[in-house]
Amino acid sequence: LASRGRIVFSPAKGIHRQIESPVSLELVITPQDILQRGADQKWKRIPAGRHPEARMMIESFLSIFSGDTGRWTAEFDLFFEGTPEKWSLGLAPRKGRPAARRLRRITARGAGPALTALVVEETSGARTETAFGAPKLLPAVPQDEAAKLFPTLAPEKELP
Amino acid sequence: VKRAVLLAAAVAGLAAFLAVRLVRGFQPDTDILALLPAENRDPLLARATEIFLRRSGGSLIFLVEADDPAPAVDALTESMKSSSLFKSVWKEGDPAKEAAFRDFYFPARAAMLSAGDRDALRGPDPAKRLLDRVAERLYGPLAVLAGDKLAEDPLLLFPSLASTWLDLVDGAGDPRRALVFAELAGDAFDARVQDQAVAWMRDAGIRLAALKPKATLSWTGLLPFAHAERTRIQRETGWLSAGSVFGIAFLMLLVFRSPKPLLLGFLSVGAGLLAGTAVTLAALGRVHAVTFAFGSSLIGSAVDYAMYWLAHRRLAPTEETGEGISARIGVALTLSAATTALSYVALGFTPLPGLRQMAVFSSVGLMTALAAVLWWFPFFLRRTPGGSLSPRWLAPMEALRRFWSDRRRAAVAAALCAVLGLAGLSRIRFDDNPRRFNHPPQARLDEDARVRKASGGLDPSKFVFLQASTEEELLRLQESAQDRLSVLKSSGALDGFRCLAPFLPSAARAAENRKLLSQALGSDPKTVARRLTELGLPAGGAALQALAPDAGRPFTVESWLSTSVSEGLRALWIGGTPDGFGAFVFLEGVHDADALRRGMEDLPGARYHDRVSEYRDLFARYRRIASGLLAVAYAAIFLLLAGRYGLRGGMAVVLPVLLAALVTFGLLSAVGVPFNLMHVLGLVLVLGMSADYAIFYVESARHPEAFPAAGLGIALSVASTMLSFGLSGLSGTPLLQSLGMVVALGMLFALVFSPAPLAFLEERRG
Repeated sequence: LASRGRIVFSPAKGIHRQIESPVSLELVITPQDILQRGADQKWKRIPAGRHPEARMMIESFLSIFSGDTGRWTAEFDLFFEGTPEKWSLGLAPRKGRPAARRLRRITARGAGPALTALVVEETSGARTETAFGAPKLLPAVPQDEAAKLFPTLAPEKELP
Repeated sequence: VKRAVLLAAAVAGLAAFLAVRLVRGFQPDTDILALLPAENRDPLLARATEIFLRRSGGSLIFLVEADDPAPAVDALTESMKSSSLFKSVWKEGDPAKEAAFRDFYFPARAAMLSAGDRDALRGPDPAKRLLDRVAERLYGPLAVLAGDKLAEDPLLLFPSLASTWLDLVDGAGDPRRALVFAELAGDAFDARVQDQAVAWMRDAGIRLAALKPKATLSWTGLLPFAHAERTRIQRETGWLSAGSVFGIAFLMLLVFRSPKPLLLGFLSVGAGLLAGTAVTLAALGRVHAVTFAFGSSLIGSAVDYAMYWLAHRRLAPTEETGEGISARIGVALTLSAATTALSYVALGFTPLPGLRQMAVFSSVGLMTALAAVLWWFPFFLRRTPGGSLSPRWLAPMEALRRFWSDRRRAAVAAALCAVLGLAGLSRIRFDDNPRRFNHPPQARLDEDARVRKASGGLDPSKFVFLQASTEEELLRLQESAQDRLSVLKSSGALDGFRCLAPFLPSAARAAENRKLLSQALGSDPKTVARRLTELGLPAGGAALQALAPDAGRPFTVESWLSTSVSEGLRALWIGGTPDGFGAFVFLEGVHDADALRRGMEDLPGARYHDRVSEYRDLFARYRRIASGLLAVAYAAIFLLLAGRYGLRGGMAVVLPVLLAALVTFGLLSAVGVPFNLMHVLGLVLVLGMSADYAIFYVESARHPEAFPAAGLGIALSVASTMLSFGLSGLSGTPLLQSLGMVVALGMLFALVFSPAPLAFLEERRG
């Protein structure tokens, strides 16, 4: 499966992921919420709180983007190789941790301060590679853009 | 002598019967539910409740709370698996359990469909809506749940179904909490199993503390509750019996100055207890521990006869024989035993099995004790024991008798007491909440609430019961109830519910799901194939053809029940019984009971139940029945007494017990005690035990020199009754506490009013 899209990470707000093909799908991950908007153009909350594995995956991504090493060291064993110009960071779930049931390894690759690729390998053999082409670094997400990218949702709307 | 030998032979026979039962492993019931009435309005529900309790009785839920509970859970499950106490053990999100679910349900995915997929297929443009859902799942954050069977299940039907179960089965998903479930190998009501499990739990807590000092381990299930109840009853039965036995022994030694009357007292009571237990066991098949606790109170009543006989012996001229005493007071004692038995028989007419046991136990016990007094005592106690009795002992009761001997003073005092009693009664309140009868320790309730909240918060006292005449009809009813409850849940009437519809499809629903799917996919197969290809999924026909319509249910209920996927769920399924097919739906966080009741009303076969309010209604009904029976018992006793003393005499002799009841209830109402069934039954006991006193006085009136002996006998009886019932008033078992409070107060007032008939009878005698 291959998809193409755009990811915006704001340390203050969270992650906004827009898939453009083969489906139009937006995903917003904030420390409080996980929201998704699909073909029906309606924002829906994803009840990841009730899916421990999905929550673990999402929290892992958030911690990788934000560089929250405290969380990594509790959940994962870390491997680092390369130079500050071209680096590779591996996270393997610790034995017995919930992440270890589905996840074999997450590898983040980067150049300088930018993340260029994220590879997720699952215990089932599934492998997901996200390549980040032409990353842009901005001091902050503009306010009007942030309001569009990170909506807030009434508590009761959940994805069925 | 002949009668004494006959009685000895009968008691020996009953003792032998009891010994045989003991050798065969007889154990008294400790399950408090055994005291409650069987459901008599709905036979299927009664049977279903029994089956549910039997099936779920062995279920235990453990909650581990820690920053990282995984190692503690692993250690706990390992320890449980190696213990012979548990039949099966599984943890939340257990990979083996997940695999079992996948193996069992994957082939049935098209017949089952999640609610979301079904909604998509039932709306307009079903194929597009279903494929949009597939795209959202596949490229969304829950893709990790898609599993490894994409080629076989490109429409992600199984992961969609599985996520519905996750919502149903798992708790709130707090990473600091983990649940472990277990099925006991033995019976949760077996005292040995209870002790072993509680000891195991204590060790597990110690081991956990060593592994993770900040972690906590909690549990719930029927067993910890049954254990708490049993140990409390055993503890209380122990101290109640010991307290009354030692108290009465002290009293008798003080008055009679000789161990012989004391031993005789215990002999008569012992014979009564033995006969009561043996006959109850033989007639009703079981004896509850609470009946024994109540039996310890019987000591107070049975010992009355011994006290009265011994008081007469104590004050009688030395030349009078024991047989002479028995003959002299035999009528009074038999009449009083008859009144007591009449009121206990009234207990037997209540529908509570526990009270029927107590009625049989008490009536047989009292009659045996009376026979022992009248026939054995003369044999053992030919002469007056001890020296002469100091007049100080007799002074208070003589003063009381003199107070009531003036008719005008007696009339004023009686009228005043009646007015005060009625004034108190104007504030009467009732509280029939069943929790007043069975209130487990608060710590146990808190622990239960904590574990239940983490495991989905189901309240076992609120449920919907479904009944149908065939299995398929019941499966369909489950589905209709699920649809109805989902609507009620979204309107806020309840927080959630657990039913088997998502796990056990009906043949009709399975066929409908397959049809919906094949219609959607078959309407425009080219577009469907193109879209699947776009999404990067195999568009080949094989995977979709496997979903083609197929008749019948994908699996049978029997096969579901026999696999591990039904563990923790199968108690909800009652299945076929001679009264029909039944299933439970348990509810979580009921906010609007009326909406639920209405919502279920027009669904034939479904009914909302709230056990607490149903039992409240039931106990209120029994309280009214018991009040009616009390009135009947008063009337019967009055008729019995009127037969001997005439109409006016009968009224005079009933007056003390009537006044005692009025003042007791008036006083308790005035201080704000809410009444329930047990208080009314306490009054039945007061009537039975204290009707004696007036009879003793009135019978003594024929021989005025016997007044001091009657006074002494009554005072000793009341003191012994207070020692036994007064103690049970301090019990932590609400059932005994309510009874004890009423009886202790009632007997005290009965003592105070006991000489009153003398004032009103004088005219007749004159």
